[in-house]
Amino acid sequence: MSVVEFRIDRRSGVATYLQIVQQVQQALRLGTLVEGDRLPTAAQVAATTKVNPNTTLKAYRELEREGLVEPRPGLGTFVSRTLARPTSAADARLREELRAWMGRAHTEGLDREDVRALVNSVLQERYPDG
Amino acid sequence: MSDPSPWAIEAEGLGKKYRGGWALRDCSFRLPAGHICALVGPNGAGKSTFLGTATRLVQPTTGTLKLFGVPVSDPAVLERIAFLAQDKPLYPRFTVAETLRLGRELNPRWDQALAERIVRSGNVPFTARIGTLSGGQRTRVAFALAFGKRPELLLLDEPMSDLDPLARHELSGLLMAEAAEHGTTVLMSSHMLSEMEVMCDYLLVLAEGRLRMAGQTEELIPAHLLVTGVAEGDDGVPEELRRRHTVIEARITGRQFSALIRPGGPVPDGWETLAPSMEEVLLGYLRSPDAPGLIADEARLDGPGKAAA
Amino acid sequence: MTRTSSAGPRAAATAPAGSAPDGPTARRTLLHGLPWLVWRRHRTVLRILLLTTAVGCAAFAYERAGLTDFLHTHGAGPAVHGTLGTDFSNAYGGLFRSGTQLMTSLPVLLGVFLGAPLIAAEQEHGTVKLIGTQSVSRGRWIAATLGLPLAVAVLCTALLSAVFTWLWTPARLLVMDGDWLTSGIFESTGPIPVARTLFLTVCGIALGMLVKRAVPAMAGTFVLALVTSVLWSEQLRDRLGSLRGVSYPYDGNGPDLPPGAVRMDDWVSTAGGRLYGYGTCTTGDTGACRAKLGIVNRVTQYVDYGQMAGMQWLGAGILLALTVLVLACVVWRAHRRPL
Repeated sequence: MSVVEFRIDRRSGVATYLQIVQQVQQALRLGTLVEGDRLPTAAQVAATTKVNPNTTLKAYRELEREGLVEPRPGLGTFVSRTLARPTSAADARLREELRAWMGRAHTEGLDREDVRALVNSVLQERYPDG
Repeated sequence: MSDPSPWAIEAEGLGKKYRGGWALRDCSFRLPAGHICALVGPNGAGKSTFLGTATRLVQPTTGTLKLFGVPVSDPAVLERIAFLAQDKPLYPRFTVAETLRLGRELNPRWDQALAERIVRSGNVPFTARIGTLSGGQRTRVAFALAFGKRPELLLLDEPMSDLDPLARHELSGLLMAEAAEHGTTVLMSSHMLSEMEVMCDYLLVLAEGRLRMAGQTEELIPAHLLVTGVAEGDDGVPEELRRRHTVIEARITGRQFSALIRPGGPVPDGWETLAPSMEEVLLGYLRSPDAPGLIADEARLDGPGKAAA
Repeated sequence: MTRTSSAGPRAAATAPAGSAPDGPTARRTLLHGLPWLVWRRHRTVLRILLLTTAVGCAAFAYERAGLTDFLHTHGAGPAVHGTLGTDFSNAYGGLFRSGTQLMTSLPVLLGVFLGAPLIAAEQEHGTVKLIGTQSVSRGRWIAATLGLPLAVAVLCTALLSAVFTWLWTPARLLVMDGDWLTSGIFESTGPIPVARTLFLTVCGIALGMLVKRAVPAMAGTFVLALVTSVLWSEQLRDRLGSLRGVSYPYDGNGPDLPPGAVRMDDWVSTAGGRLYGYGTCTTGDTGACRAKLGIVNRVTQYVDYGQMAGMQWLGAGILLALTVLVLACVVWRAHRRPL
């Protein structure tokens, strides 16, 4: 049985192979995929999502270029590196500060969408795309 | 296969004339092996005629067609291809087992285990007569017959058109998985454009019997832009747009124009641009049969040779 | 554009052994390849045909034993008049009537139920597309599709005809009062049943190929069989052999026909051999009328039993020539381009 199943959103406008790349990266971050796991074969992906096998292989090549996976001839494609970081003390402190910040935002009367817009704009400022 | 040709299909000047006129005309392109290719076009565009010529069921009036380097006039191509006609003809009085036996008796490369696996995974009883099966089960048996042949090229004429959503999902998954597993080149005609977008990586677009577009999806689709801006000029479409770019289709709504173009250079900042989906590009071409076609270099007969895989 | 293909080991791992409980068990059969397919498609009709042949042959053979006894005790020729004709008719009339019925209707049934749907049903259900894309050439397909059913049909009718001829020959002077030409015996013995079967079956096949619908093709074949059988009996059959004539004095006894001859026509004639219709000078002053015309003889025309085989082979030859012509068209059409 394969460890992950890809979900392809045909209306997202994001290229199918990129969706696969992002979902693998996400799974690596969340720890649902760890080093040594075997990614589903192109045929397995095709069977469940109808994604063109060449598209899947293209995504795997991209992941390989990023050094996240490695193909083992005859066996399949395996995760070679994990993205999940051990939770550190710094993480906990940052989380606590963010919680406090959101509490202030709430008392200032910002609703959910206002907060999201604010966070996104700062996120974009600090971590620009590409 | 001593000398595998890198081209699953090579058509040169292919045409078919019926009493009512040309169903297919001057069709030249090539399809590299290993792709899953969508054959798209409105009804009567010549899709079935093309599939007929590739399966020796229709005799072309003009031109030549080669499959893996073998001319279709040679019965030897029959071993290498499988065809699923739109109505999936099977003998209604045969049992499922007898239908598979038909495949075994008539095809030297027959893979009985594979065919049985496909039938069994759909829980279709081997003793049932074809006439008593549901549409989905029948299509599954037809798939088993097609894949059991171990074809290098599988041609399908609107394979999912008469299936309920569940059977459609199940069988398109089966099709994709088997094609991926065996490296089969697939050419299928379909009207389900959004599904084709995920399944196919190669495109053939026919309209009014002529080839409008051919090439890899990832090359063809990004070559297009959706542009919107302020309408100007006589017909609303800015003169500059027509001069600098190839306009496939343009629409005027109030004071705004929107167009599908093949950019010939940078698009001015005043216009808003958007990358179209495959469906949007295809619809644009299908709606404007007079717009200039687009055949990718790779799909041209005189295009570059196959790069080493 | 290469894909990792792990077909070999995977297929082997997931494929159950051939002895899976619900898997199609590979029965050992005589037929393989295209002949198997053709047999499977038409097995109902072909089985009925084989069964009919077996039962027919057995019945004819069984009856022949009794018939031989009958002829031994009662004599075989109509020379002995009296009750022999009636006795024979009572004992074996029914057998020969149903025998000729079987032998004359079998070719029609084969044309309608075997010939007409042979290719028409494939076209109607689109299965020509199915077979056309298996790994067999059109030439091999058409050869098997035509060859096997025609071979079985020829074999069966030839067997039945041979056994029926064997049954009829010793009693030929008694059966249907010795009329072997117009009573159906002519069409039920020798090469004629085989030739009719081939002709009607091939016509059915050709008609089906043109109509592309099984049921209309069957109806058309039936009509065609009726038309050709009328043409055959009205126009062709009597001309297969030349009539022989015997003349005898107008008021004398006669005619003295050889045994087994079938009387075809009667005339009156002059001494010089000029023929007048049989009804000439039968009213008014018949004597004066005859004297005026010079009629002195009566003439009877007949075909001799010795001509029968020649007539049958000539008739069969004509049918077979037509068959070959139609068959060539069918093969040429099916071979040249897709159906």
